[in-house]
Amino acid sequence: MPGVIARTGHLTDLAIDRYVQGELGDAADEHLGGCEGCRRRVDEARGFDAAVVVLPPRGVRARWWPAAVAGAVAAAAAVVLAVGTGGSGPAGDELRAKGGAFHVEVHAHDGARSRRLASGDAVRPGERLGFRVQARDAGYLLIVGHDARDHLYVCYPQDTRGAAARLEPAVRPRAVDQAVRLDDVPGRESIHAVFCPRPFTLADVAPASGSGPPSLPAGCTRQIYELEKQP
Amino acid sequence: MDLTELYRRYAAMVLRRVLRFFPRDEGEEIVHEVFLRVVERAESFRADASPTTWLYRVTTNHCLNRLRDDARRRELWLEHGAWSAAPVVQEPDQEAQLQLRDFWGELDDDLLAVCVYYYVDGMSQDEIARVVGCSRATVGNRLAALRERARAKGAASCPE
Repeated sequence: MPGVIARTGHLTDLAIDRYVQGELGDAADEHLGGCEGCRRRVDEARGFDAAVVVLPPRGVRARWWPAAVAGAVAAAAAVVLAVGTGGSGPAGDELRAKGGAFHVEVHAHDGARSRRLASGDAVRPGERLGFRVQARDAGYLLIVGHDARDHLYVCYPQDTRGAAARLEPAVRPRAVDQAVRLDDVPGRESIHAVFCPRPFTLADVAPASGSGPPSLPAGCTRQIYELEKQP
Repeated sequence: MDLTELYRRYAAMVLRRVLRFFPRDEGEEIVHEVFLRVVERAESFRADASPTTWLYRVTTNHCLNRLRDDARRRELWLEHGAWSAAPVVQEPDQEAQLQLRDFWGELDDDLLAVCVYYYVDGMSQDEIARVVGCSRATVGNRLAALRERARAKGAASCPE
């Protein structure tokens, strides 16, 4: 597609942005198929967007912040939570092994750079975890964390009182507009993304015994990331 | 245009663009300024246009306005422009490009924006035309004016 390739022979920054936002689609796929550097730029941009929440202005500047924008920023900022540490759970990319009904990526952002996480990766206090999600069929998604104190907490969605979010089918992953911020207690932390064809809530995945990792409701699938928080 | 949705979806992307011009510790504040500009100029957004391209232009223009200080413009050139386009431009362009940094801080806003899209971002003239909202011929004319200005300045600085 003319106009998306820079004079360097690679995608322009704008083309990368448009591709990440789903505006270019197949137009850039041909180049990305043969260019590892541009694929890495796309991954970095997606990771950054998934992990970063731009906070609202503070102090005197906030007085000049229009109400319309203030509402938007407050909604985004409200989902940045301090979360617990530790925990454990079953390992691996369970969902993909079951045929790719849905997929969740976890990205960490340290304030300057972002990176995509895999089970077993290390994270650090203060980093923000963001998520990119994709489902082959419509369903409901709840991402929860399980910490060393055996507490369950909701990572996404955080504004529904524990109800899973409706996920529409998509051919590309999209970033959710919520993130969690890690606190400073070192230890293991497991992130469980539970996907069901019908609505469900946090109560449905809470273990019946009252302790232990989240349970999996019948007919649902899940993907689990085990992370290690280092001081 | 739903401003809330726009902010939720694009604020991080705007921050990435801002960080091409400014350090991380200034980024968040500048994103706030960009969205204030978005509120002011919301009527200029066409419903059928690409929001990404529109925000890219608004963000770039705002950053360049903040970079009016000559020293900061020179810094931008040294950080990005000097290396990003050098390997691919033709010989006459290389000569002009080397001289452009001498008057980077003197360019008016329109010329500076084209200069940034061309030399810093490496965009083609077609893509610049789409982002700026003018014809490819206009972009070509602006680039020609830039080169002519660079050559004239270069010639003037050489001993006779």
